[in-house]
Parts: sequence; structure tokens; C-alpha cells
Amino acid sequence: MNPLKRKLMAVGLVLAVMAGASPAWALGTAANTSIDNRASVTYSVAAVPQTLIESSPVGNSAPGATFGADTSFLVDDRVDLTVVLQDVAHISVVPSQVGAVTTYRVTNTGNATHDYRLTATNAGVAPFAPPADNFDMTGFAVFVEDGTTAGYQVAEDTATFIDEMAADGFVDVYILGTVPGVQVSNDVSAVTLTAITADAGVAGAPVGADTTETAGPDTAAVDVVFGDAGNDGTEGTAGGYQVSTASLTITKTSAIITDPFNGAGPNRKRIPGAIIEYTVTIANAGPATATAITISDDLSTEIGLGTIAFASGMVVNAPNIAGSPKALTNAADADEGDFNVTGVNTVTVTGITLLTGENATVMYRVTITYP
Amino acid sequence: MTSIKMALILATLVPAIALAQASPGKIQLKSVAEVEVEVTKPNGEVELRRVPAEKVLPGTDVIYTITTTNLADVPVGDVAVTDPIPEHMDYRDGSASGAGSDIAFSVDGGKSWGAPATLRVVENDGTVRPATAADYTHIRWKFTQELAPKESRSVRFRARLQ
Repeated sequence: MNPLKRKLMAVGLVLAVMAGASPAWALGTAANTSIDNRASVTYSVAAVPQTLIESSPVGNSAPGATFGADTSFLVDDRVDLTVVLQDVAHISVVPSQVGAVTTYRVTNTGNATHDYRLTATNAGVAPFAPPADNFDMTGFAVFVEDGTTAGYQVAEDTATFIDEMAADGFVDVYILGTVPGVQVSNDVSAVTLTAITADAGVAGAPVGADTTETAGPDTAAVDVVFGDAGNDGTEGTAGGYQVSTASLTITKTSAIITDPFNGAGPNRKRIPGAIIEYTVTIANAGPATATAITISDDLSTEIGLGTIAFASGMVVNAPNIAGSPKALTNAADADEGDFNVTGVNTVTVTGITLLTGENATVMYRVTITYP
Repeated sequence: MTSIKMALILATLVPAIALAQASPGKIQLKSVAEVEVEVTKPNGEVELRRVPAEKVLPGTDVIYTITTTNLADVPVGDVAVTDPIPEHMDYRDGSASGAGSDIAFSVDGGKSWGAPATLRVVENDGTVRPATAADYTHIRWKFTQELAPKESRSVRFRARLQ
């Protein structure tokens, strides 16, 4: 093995390791490379060794090491690329999520530098199953990793096409999409990233025109041949989003605590002057955790009609709130609750987090007023 | 100035070139690179036809034909044709042919020669392994017989563009 070949193999090994799970490997001498060859012959006349003669394409008979000419040809442009999904499962999303990211790797497995135009579209078949695709994402955008920080970074990864990617080069590409607000848990949307080979130009210039295959016979210029699957210079693959959201149930019950005649006795009635306790219960059936839950109860209609009056304070009992059950004041203070502050005549309790299967309650009391 | 004087001056200025060009060798050596293309004949049959290699895609086989012609009026002997495997190309195992010649290969740039089974490659870590066709750097054809006056003989091999 000559040193060059050995060096090339060593480089190939290193890159193959770097590429890891994506073994797509360009087989290709760089386009427009001149492949030169010159044979030589030694001989004797009457047993006397003569000067070496080198070959030429048309035949050379001038002895010496400088009179031959290379038999040469040029390497054409073999367009080839792969697009491989980098996600190992559907990307978990929630309804109304904006900028949900799926990740793909585009590799130039051809032998020439190219730009690549990128598109995102809804697809019909999800990469991981079940469940099957049943909704379409909206608001697609496609961005290319700039190499500064791995993973999509809104401030860094701003390029919308792949610029001047050399043979054997690869880059990660992100599809960003919006989840419609109507989706529910386990809904799945498949999306496809498509990379279209475009002509290389100058770094920083807009994306080149889509590369076209050289039609007809060999031309004098370097020809383009589509060597990719489908022979169209275009490859795509599907990624998927799966909705996983919290499923909250809210119930409100009331109980009588005391009335002016029976006190807390068993015969207490809902009569004017009685104290009624409302209990609002929030339960999360999952599968996702719900955070920043705010419970509001607007009592302004009843209070406006003069039928009830709010008794001071409320009690929250939530798994994530220390000291639960915890008494909260009406005031706009550090605790999680207020009354008639956030909303007029409204009970507001914030900061509740519920894991799947958990529930929280908020209790507060009102007095039935005298007409 | 006459053309004879011009020629004399040139000969004085560049005697080496002038001399070399003035005395052609006894042998002409011609190297041709071709690729095979499928041609559909009028009767629908597909045949492989060789056309000159001008531009080639990676993964394509190129056929090199090296023709040695004795231009002299006397036989020439000890004819040995040597051809390096071009950079970016891999020799195709078993493809070297040449009637009436002993074919040998080199894996060290032409310093040593041998039959394929005898060739060894020393890896960077010192281990030794049998050479494969991709390791060959040069091919040599030694003609077993003299080349008669005006006789031509061709040798051939295939290499695949990486």
C-alpha cells in the first residue's frame, strides 16, 4: 500500500467512527479530479539496455523520463445524499406547542460540494408505531445546525438551507412545527424533511439552483449523474410528533358548615346566615405533568346580587405546596392565593403542579346573606 | 535569418532536447484508458462497447491498454512494461493480462515485485498481512520473448475509480 492510500484509509476509519450509527459512506473521488496514468517500458537491443520510454495516449517513442504524456480522464459529479432521522422516538409535544423540534442528519455521500434546499411537509406514515399518524402539524420552519451548540438553538441555528457542503460532509437539520390546540394525548403527526441537491456556488450566497442531471451523452464539462435512491438528487425521511398532555378534571362541591339556628348540628340548613364551604378539586389523569395550574372562581355575580359574601381566606391542599393543607390570605402577598385582587370578587390560587394521578383541592367559605 | 541558421541556434541553446528529439527510441509505448458502455444494437441486443475514458464516475471500471510496438528493424529483448496504478484507483483483482508476459505486482511503489500470493503489507502498527488488490501500486509485464521488428503487443488491466 502506498502511503497515500494508507493515509486515506486511516482518515476513513476515523470518520466512520465519528459518523457512528449512520454508516452511509461516500464512495467517491472528488469530482473534476484528473486521474493521470503513464506507463513506461524498458528494453534491450542486442542485449544492451536502452533508455526507458514513457507512454502517451497516442504513442510515444522518445526515450527519457520527460517525453511521455499522461493518459488522463476527469471524474464526474456523482450526486448522492442521505437523510437520516436522529430522533429515537416520537418527539413528545403538547397541544398549542410552537417550535416543536424533530432532528435529521443530511450527509453528502456524493463526490462534489453542493448546496441543499430543505423542505418540511406533513407525511402519512410515522417512523415509530403505534399509534399511527392522525393529524398535521402547522407553521413549519427548517433550520440548519451551525455547529456552535449541539441541538436546536434559536439564536444560533438560523440558516434555512445547507450551504456548500463538501463530499462526505454532514449536518443536522431541524424541523420546527406547531401543534394544533385541539390535539389530545397520543395523537401522532408524521413530518418529512426533504433535502434537494442544489448547485454549489459561493459560501454565504443564496441557495443555488436545483442541480439537474446532465441529459444525453457525455459532455465536455463535468457531468452530473444522480446516484441516489430514486436517481433524483432528492432524499427525505420522516420524523414524528406525539401529543402527551395532562388531562385535568375540575369539580366543585359545596357543604354547609353552620347555620344561625342549628350551629354545626346535624340539622343545619342552607339558610341566610349559614356558612357554606366550597371545595374545588383538580385531578390530573395524565399522561403528562401539569404545571402552573391556576384555579379561579369568579363570585362577582352572586356577590353583586347580594346573595353571598366571601368569608376570609382559603385553604389549598396540593402535593407540591409545602405545608398543605395550607391556609392562604385574601391579600396580594407571597402565598399562593388571593381574593378580590387578581380578579374582582374572584378567588385565585396559583402555583399548583400535578403529576399523573395526583389531585389538589382549594377550599373557601361564603356566607349566605340576608335578603 | 535563414531557417537553417535558426535551427542551428536552437540546437546550440537547447542541445539536450534537440538531441533527444532527434533520436527516437526503438519502441513506441501507447497507453489508452477506456470505459465500457452498454450499447443497444438495432436488433435489441445490449452489448458492452469500449469508449475512450474522458470523464468517469466513481465506482466505474477503467480499462487501461498499453501497447508496445517495436519500431526498429531488429528484435528488442528484455522488454518490461511498468504501469503505476493511478491515484484514486484500485486495481481489479485478476484483471491484468498480457499474452507472452510474466505479470508481477508491487505494493511498495515499484521497489519490489512478486506474484499476488507472495505480497505482504506491513501496517502502521507493525502487523503483516497478505496484500489485497487495493494495495497494489504498480504492475509490471515482462515479455518472455523478444519483440520482433514492427511487432506490437498489448497488455491490459482494469482499475476502479474510488
